Amino acid sequence: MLALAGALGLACPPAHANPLDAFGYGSRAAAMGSAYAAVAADGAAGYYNPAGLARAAGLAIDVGYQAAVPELHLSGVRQPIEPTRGMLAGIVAPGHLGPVRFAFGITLFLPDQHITRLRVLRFETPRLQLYDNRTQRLFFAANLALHLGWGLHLGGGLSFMSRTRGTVHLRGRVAIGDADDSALWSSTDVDLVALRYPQLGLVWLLGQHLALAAVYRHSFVLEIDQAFEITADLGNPGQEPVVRGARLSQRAQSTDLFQPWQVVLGAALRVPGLEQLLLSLDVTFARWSEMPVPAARYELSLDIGRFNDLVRLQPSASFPPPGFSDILIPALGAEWQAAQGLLRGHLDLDVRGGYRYEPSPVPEQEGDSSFGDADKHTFSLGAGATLRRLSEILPRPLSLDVHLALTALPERSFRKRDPRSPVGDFTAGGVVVQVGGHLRWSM
Amino acid sequence: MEHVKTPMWLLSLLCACGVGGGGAELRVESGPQSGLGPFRLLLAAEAPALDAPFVLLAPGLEVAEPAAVADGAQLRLWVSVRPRQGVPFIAEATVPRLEEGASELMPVLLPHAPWEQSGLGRPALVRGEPGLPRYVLFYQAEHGDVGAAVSEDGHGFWQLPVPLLPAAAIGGARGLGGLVTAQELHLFLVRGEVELVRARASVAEVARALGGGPPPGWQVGSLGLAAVDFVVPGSGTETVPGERILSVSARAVQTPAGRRRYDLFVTVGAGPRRALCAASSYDGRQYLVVPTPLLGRPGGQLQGGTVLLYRQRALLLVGLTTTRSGIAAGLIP
Repeated sequence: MLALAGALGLACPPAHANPLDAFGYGSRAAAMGSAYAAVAADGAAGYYNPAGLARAAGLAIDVGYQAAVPELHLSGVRQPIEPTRGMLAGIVAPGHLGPVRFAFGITLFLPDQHITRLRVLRFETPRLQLYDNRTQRLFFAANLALHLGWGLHLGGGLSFMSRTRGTVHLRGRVAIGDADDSALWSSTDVDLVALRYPQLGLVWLLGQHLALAAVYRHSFVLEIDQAFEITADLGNPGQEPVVRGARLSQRAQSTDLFQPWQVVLGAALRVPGLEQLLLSLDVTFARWSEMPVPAARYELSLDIGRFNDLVRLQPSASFPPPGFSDILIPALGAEWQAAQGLLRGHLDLDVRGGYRYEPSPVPEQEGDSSFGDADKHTFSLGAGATLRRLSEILPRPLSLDVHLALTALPERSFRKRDPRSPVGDFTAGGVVVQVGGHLRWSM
Repeated sequence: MEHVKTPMWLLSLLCACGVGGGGAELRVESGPQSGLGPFRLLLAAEAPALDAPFVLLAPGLEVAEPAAVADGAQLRLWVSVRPRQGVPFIAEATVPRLEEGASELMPVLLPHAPWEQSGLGRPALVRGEPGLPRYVLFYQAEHGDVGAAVSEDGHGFWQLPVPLLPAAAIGGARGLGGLVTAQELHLFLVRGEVELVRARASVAEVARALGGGPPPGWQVGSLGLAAVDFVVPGSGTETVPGERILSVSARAVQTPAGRRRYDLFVTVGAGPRRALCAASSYDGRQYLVVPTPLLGRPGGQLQGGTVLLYRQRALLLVGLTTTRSGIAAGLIP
């Protein structure tokens, strides 16, 4: 698994933080406003609540595709933020270990443009922090869940990423007169480091109607460490070098893809007397106050012997912490079994709806930084069709879910303290349209 | 008030002005910028059809001190024109698209009244301010009186027959920048080439004067900014204080967050070096100097400049004399 995660990470040049935090996983969950911690019993449980894996009735495979298209603006200018599109895949494999029921699950979101994309901007550069830097990355998690009895299910696992730490070396001669006369040999030294962060979940089924859930997702941040070194003689070809063994080294360190640790409390209620209706509620606490400074620090050194005094190198600037706020994210979902037993008992139809409110963790931007963001209201709709007993080969249900969601960011104004600010006052807002389809197959 | 009459010889001369014709659209910057730079002059690759960085060239004439507004893709400029022979006057240039440059340069304010006979210059435009005619073009006669002309369409201007602000009230200060705050018109001038002064009058009184009523009551005082408060690039990475203020212009902008900001653009010189600098204010009373010049080391002599929002991007327009004299454009990189 690590090898797979590593290989995926190696392929990634540049990425953004968790797309599932922003848009959810799978059409059923997304249609229910991502209020799914106490509902999940399929591959989506790998993200929403690992404990839900142990509720799966049997081996289940799901595969899907979802896309989110942002139309976001800063001061009325559309921002070139790429859509988040990608394939979903999950597998739940339950079993028994003696009297204990368990399940193993793998959950994957694989973007189809970049496996992961990183973009480190100058600290002062205006940006839509939570979208420009959040929604385009791989998500890959492996979880194990147990049914403890008394309705209690416990699950946990790891999500995987990888980062690179590398140095490019150049050695040889740097020509002074014409750079084309330089002769340099390169070598690259890159380490691929696996990153793992845990998630834990608990589901407590209280009878046939009520489920309570609690989930913890650990924080994640990708550290990028890249260096460049030149060791060379300075001088023109055929002449005695002006400087022997001159050395220039540069190292840049930055962080990206920050994901705050989160605690989710959830509940799901099959309404007594109205069994067709399932209601769900999640409240997520997200620890955004630990957000690191999203800017690069660099070290630069130059040794050109007797000419050192002629060059003054600027030290890396230091930046204040971004001062993000912790937030509470409520989400509501509903699912209505609109029809059961159609097509001579083969087809069930569900309709779904949801709402999720994510307040902005971004503080006022009165100083040098210009992190644009606004509160997010997500309205979602969806439908599901479950086919039962299709044939002898497919005796178990096959479900097709689709969803459509709209995240609205009402325009928010940011005012600068100093009228001389290069960026000046600005506004942020817009919408993100999300669609998806998801096939779930039980075996 | 009298309508400006344009001599035909002047029209035929000036219609030959302009640069360019056709070209790709300039890339729009994705992020917001307040327009306080620093700028760099337009590159040939950005506008191949232009004689970059110039968007307006006037062979045989010296043009400087642009005042400008943007109407969609169209730019309208009012500039000081100094012919080699004859008296200075103010002309308007229309730039249908920045990438194409100016298509024409037309005289718009010529000396008419006796107090204007020495020539006109230093245009400062105020547009769309409540309580005032849609276009008010302030200007200064060579001997110092400040006049005003009004228009509803920005083309045909009617000049006040008498100075709006007599030279005696401002002690010979030269200018000219103009903007409107909540209830006042502010005109900015330079006293003795070293100090910025401001003449203030209520918008209501100015409106009455523009309608033929009595002159407004002006309050004239120092702005608290001098040449040495601005810097120009020196040798290496050093900067040096400005020694002289060569021109001033002003603008009021509505920020995307819905409040007003007031900017002054000042051409300063220190010996042979010149730079365009800025100062900015939210309240219209106390201005803070932008520490870095908006444009320094331009490869020529600057004379006047302004900044406006053009297709969501901050655009610098500046009078520049190299081997030629024209209005050059600049963008924030």
